Amino acid sequence: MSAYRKWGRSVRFENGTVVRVEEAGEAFEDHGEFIARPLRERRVLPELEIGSWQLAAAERVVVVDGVSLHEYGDVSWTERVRRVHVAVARAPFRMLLDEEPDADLLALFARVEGRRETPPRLLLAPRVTAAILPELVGRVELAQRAGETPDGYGRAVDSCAVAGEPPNWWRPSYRVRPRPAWFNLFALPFGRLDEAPRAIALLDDGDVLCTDGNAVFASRLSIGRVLAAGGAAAWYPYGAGAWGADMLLESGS
Amino acid sequence: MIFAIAARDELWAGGRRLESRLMHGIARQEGAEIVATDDADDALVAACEEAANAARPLAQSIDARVRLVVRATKEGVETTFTISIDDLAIVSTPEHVLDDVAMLRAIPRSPLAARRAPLVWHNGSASVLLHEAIGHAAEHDVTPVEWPEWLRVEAPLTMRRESFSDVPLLRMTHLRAWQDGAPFVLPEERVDVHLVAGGAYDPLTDVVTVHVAVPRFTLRATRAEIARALRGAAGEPLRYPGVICSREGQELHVPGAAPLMVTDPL
Repeated sequence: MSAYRKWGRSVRFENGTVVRVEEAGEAFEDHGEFIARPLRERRVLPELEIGSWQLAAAERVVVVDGVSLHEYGDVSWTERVRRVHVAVARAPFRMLLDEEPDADLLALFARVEGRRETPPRLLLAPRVTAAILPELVGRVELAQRAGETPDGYGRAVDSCAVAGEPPNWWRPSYRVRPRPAWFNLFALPFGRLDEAPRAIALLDDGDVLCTDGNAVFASRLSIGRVLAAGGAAAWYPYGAGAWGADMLLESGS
Repeated sequence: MIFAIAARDELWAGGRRLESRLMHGIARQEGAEIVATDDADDALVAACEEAANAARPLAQSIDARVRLVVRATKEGVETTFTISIDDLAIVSTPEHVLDDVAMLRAIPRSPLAARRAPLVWHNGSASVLLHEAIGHAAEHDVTPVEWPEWLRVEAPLTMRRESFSDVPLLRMTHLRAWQDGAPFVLPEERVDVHLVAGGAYDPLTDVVTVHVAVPRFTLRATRAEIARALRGAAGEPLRYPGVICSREGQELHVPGAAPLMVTDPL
């Protein structure tokens, strides 16, 4: 079996420190054993820059820009990624964002009044839906959307329904054994998105930030029956990728 | 400031190696910028491989799922074994691993704790409670709480990182707790804590969470509640078989030891 090789460069802003990383490695299977090791070889990669980030009330700000060359057998491909992870605190709550923070959302979080019982129905924002999509496999119709970047074995990621075993393999890093995964997962739109309190962001410990009229509060996210799903709105870096959409669900027991 | 590391990370199951990873790199820090590459410090790589070669026969001999990690830095070489049997796990070192595996096999598998009874922390497991409540709290420089006078805790902090590409953080090197003239009465009705699966401290809420593996339950309490709940302790510190401590995604081994300890229900 061929070796998978990766040459990568990244620049990361992490809570005030800038980290520039350059590394290259290979991974392969030998009689059922997964082996990963540095390549001790450099390839020319573009220079990357990252600015400084300041965000009031932020506990954690991690921004990564990366570029990488991948090679598996005769196939080679390049990848550019940008990831943002922000944790904003307002005791005792902590909002977790995996995208560049939106001023309106930060303003709403600053108004969080406390905790309420989970509403019987919740209309989830795309950033919330994307995080729970893997839990919905088998409960709603999901599909894989074609992507420009091949999978961990250099194979094309094509659009297909989510059924049976995933056709593609995901490598979060060259050091991690690849595993079958659905890429760019999304829910097929169905039903009617009726009015309901909105879950607009993830909080830690399984909670969500909700709005209902002028009220802003925290509730436990409890996933019951999915009543409707809208069209895919934004991609999030959960697993091998997930497209968030508006989604109406009943709260579970 | 220069940091260099070589590390070997292997996964074994039933005497067979399933995964093997070599990692090395060098990080140079100037002010608030770190330049990190996976260049090799050949002396560290050699030291890492020598320790890994020595540890492999042990990993192979244990009929369980074994994660062997060897880290070589300028400070020294550290070898740890994470042993999983059924759904229980311990972290150990070469000199203790066989005894710790025997202990893991002998631990009574009781399903759920009858809560609301005093907790008796065996095998040094109170060190995990104190690791979260005192060690991590110190890392975050939060307001101190008052601990019983009979309790002495050593939890030195230093800048540590898991890998060359990580930002160093103020972390515990180990936690060791002693009792000095503590009261001790073994409660007749009690929950015996034998093994802990993990824990966390949240500086935002000041809440400590400890997931007890045997018997299975989770406790959540503030530091002040834990300090008030400490009833007593007996004997010398007992080495707890291991804590792999994760913060900001960086996993580091933090050894712990504590005497037999009794707390009110938490």
